[in-house]
Amino acid sequence: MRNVVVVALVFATGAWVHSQTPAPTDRVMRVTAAARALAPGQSDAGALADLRAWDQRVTDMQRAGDLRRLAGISDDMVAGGVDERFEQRHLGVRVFGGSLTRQLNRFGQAESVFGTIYPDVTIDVTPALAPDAAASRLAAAGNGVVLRTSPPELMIIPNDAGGYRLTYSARVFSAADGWVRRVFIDADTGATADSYIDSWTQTAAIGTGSGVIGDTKKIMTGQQGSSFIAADLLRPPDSNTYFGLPRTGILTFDLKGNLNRTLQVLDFLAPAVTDIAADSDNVWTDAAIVDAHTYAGYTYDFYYKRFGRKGLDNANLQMWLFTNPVKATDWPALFGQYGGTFFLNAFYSSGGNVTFGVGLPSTVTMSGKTWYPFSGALDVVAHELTHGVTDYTSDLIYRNESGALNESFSDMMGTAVEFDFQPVGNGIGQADWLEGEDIARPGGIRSLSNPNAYGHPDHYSLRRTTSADNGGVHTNSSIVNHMFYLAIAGGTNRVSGQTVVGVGFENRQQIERAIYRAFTVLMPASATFSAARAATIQAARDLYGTNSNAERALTAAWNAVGVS
Amino acid sequence: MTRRFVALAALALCLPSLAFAQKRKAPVKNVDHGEIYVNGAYQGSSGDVSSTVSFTANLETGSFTSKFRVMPGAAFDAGGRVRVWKRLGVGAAVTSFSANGTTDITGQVPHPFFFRTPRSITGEASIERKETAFHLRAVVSSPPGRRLQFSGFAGPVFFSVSQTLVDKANYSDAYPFDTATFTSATTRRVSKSKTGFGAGADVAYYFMKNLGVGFSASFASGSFDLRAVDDSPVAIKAGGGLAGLGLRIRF
Repeated sequence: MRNVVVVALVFATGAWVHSQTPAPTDRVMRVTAAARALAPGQSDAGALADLRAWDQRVTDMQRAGDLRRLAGISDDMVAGGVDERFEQRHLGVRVFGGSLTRQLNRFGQAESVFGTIYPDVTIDVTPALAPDAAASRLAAAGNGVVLRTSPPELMIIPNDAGGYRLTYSARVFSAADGWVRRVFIDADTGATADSYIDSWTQTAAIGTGSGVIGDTKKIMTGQQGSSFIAADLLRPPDSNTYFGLPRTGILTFDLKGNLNRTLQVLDFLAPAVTDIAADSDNVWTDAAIVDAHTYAGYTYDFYYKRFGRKGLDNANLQMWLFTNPVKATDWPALFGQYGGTFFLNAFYSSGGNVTFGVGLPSTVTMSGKTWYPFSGALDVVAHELTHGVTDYTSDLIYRNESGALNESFSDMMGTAVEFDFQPVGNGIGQADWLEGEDIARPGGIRSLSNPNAYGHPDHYSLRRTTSADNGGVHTNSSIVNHMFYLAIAGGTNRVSGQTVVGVGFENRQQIERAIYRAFTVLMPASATFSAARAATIQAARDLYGTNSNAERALTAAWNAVGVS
Repeated sequence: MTRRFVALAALALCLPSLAFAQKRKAPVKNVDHGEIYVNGAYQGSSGDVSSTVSFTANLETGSFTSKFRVMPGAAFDAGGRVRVWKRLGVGAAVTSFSANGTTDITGQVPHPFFFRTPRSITGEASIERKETAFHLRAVVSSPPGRRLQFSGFAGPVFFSVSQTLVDKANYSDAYPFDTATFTSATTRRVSKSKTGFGAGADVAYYFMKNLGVGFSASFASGSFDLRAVDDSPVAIKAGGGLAGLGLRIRF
């Protein structure tokens, strides 16, 4: 892309000076503006002037219909504050990736603006294809079915070579490989314009596996006649009901290893009551079901108690957890087609739905690891459900840096949930800085403290610039993960040699809260690592004050991993 | 019983005029066939009543303990003796005592989501203790002097105790269930009888031939178990120290 990045910050050092008011010819304008300087060397006066200019521009664009205000939510974390979220429109049609957030203080004054807009969109928005025809073209392009939760939508996307293209877009589930894709087709010709995997998933490195740890825990169920179902009736329920299913906050389904039924359910032909996991005596023996159900509850509790958040959409959206999509013993026949989805993976696929892979038989090792059902790790379950939080907040685009941020937010919160519910230690069932260590044994699949040990980058200079894995979303996330670790625990980055004084493990909530605020309130869908740096620093200031320990730790941690 | 003693006391009030009339005539030798008395008394504490009740909630065992201290208080004490041989006699008495108060309740309520993560509750409930004791006594009395007469006594005591016990500590909780709040207690009155032992002494000052005032001090005790709602034993001590002051009528 012919990106001309305009950052609404003025660096007093003069190393590079950015216009306070974006020029109309800019292809992309990335905004990180706040009432006080966000970067070393930036003057507060310059930052404030920059912010005021952007504040006015947001207001003007909203009046002109170029920005649509999606939400104005009272800020739970800053008294009297209001968080606004906008998406860019051109003649009423959404511009993909064009979004802004604006944070207002108790006096209605802008405190910060973050986001990305495309200022030069001029194309006509009358499609030649009718919506019905577009739906079938989208389904064909994605080799599947268009999700009911994501009907075809007219959308303007920026071309890599410049200019813009009017498209239809939808999320499409493919039974051929189990993936959900975001698909774009040309709104005139129906040709595929773009496509990427949009199952927000935690991809496991093929090799180690682990499973359920054999602990005994309480599971919240519902009695139905003489049987019990995995419907959590004690946590706050969704106000809606779906397909005649119980009105609860958490529902766990048992697909019983029946691939055909799995594909039907994930095609959103509607899961039935009979798909809900059930047990005759309320003494549950299927470990994958027990852990999916209970760990989802723990994750709900964490978000509620730590941040005051009510579920994925902050309105107690019902969580659907799909377990046993295949039989682990069927792996010789099915692994080639579904290894990355129904065996060695867990994935979030919009609407509060998570599917957990079954792992592999205990006699099979892959990549030196034994793989257990993916719901057996608390950090994995929390990771996937955090994708749901992202889905209903920043909606970080699942590729390149925004995709890596999407993954990293899930890793960070997954780790935070684990520390909140499990004893700290290095063993199975204990909280540590590894991701997935309970289901991929030994060692898990990622490390926040030492990403390099897993072959993942721990410094921005080592980021992967590949088209694989949606632009390295599962590898480049480790840079941000490591920043999170350093900001809490402190330490020295292996590459930069910079030492960070963290806030300390006992104060980890400060960093968790700043991260949560940045990722759910301040950051736009198209955020870059640099925007994430600015947003997290601003969030720390919002919550703990300028020059607080949290702000200093985050700033030093971002510096240490090379993100400026 | 109380009415009988009131009648006797009224009779006693008539006696001074008779005694006064006799005083001027000739000295009269005091006789001691027996004595009846009525005391206003003060009973000391018989100790604590502590009960711990276990219950099942959220797949685990919870419990609560209620602790009630039987505070000292007013009592009624009345009785009499009859001389049967030389200075020895037999007697009977009845005492009545009640104590009202509050019991402190502390409990542990299992968490619905997690094992071994109980929530604490604290509260209070109204409690009542009633004791009625019937005493049989062997009595040794001093010879009837002009004014003072001493007695000592001992014997079995038949206690009847009524005690309020807490059957259930009611509580409320709501998501995220990390705390529970005591709301009320479900109580039940339990009664039981038991034999104990008592002993004491009495000194009477007769300002008239047959009428005087006296002070007595005694101790009676009985120990036994009540049963809590979960059938666990609740140790009870009845009686205690008793000091009384009242009228004496000698015959």
